[in-house]
Amino acid sequence: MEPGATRISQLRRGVLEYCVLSLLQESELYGFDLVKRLSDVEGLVTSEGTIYPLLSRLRREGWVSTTWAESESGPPRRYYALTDEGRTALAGFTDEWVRFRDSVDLLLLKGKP
Amino acid sequence: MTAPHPQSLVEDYLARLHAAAAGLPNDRRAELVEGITEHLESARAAGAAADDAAVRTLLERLGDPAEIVAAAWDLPDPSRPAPPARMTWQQWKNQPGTTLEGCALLLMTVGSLFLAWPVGVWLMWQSKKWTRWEKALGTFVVPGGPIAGFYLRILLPREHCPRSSNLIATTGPSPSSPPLQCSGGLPHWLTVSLTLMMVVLPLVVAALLWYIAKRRSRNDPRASPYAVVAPAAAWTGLEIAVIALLGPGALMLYGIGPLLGLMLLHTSPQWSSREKRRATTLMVFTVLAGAGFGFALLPRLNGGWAWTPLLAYVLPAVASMTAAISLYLALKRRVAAQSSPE
Repeated sequence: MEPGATRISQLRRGVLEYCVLSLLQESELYGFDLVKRLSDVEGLVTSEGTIYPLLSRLRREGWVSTTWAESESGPPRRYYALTDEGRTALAGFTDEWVRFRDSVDLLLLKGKP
Repeated sequence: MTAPHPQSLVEDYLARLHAAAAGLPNDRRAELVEGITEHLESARAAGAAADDAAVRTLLERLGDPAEIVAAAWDLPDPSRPAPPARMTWQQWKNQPGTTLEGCALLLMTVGSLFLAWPVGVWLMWQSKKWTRWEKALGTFVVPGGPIAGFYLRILLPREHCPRSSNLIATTGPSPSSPPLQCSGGLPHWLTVSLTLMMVVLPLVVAALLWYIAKRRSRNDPRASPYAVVAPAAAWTGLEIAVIALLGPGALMLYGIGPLLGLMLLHTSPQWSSREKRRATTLMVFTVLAGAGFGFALLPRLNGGWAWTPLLAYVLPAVASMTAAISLYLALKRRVAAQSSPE
């Protein structure tokens, strides 16, 4: 593993929950669908299973709520939806993140084309 | 050595996950296992677990159970602010317990005596612990709640048995007066069994809904009425009860047997959704068609009521037993296919 990789994985872990929230902004999703969409984004998720503890925490935090709905085949599924509190948290983080990212870029990429 | 079956790969994975998660608080462990189990089930429904290689890829992408549990430990419990003294309706509705569900079911059963059934149904539709299908079941079996049975009793056309006392008063006893004869309306036994069913069915449905809500609030996938991943094909008490209630039960426990059988059928992980749907449709269609045919035609036929037993008893029983036989054969075939060497 490259020396920077561990750090990046810590950083990734902190940001991932907001990525989940932002996926839920438009519509509610069930676990498998949500995980698939996250995995489709390059370099965001290393092991898909770890998203489930994250979802559980978001639920307990009150940022997402869950409902059950019938599926085409098989048993009912648990759907995750963004709550108002989650929406506020996401908006707050997005503002902070843009500023943070710009500042880091400014320093890291100084002098690079 | 033979290659492991995809199903056993999944079971092995879930067993390792269960073991790794042993230290987590109960509800968190249950929720985690439930999430992963549902993930695997969804992948299977999406065709992403068709063969051995696909299942291996699927499990690899999920990651090592130990790693997943480690991630669960890394996430601290959120520091919840103290609940406000006055909860808003939204907060009360979304709280994790089953207060809302309990109130809804109470209003729909006991409350129906005081005509509070509509309020109960409204509360039920606010809940997030039931699916739409389950809520529809609660609404349509039976509209009005158990009390509706008594109203039905009043509204149904009754057998009319002229009392001879009237005749005596007006015309006096006469040897030529016709013998007492009852005419019109539904036969007494049918009214009584319809009333009974309308009282018992809503109570049975309420009990089932309570069971589901309780399990979901505990995040308890193993005791869930919808076991997510069917273990290897096998007969358990549940499946035997389903066959017994749908088959012989159709003859011995009029109405109640098949209905209980259908409900239990939907809780068994052993039959596919398609098999369950087929059995349900067959029975519901027969009952509805029989009732429609009966109410439309029988009053117009001379002596038509003589056909009532056929429509109300024989046809539904035949449909129920047909369903029982086809379900029995389906599962028997699967058990046999599994035990035969590959």
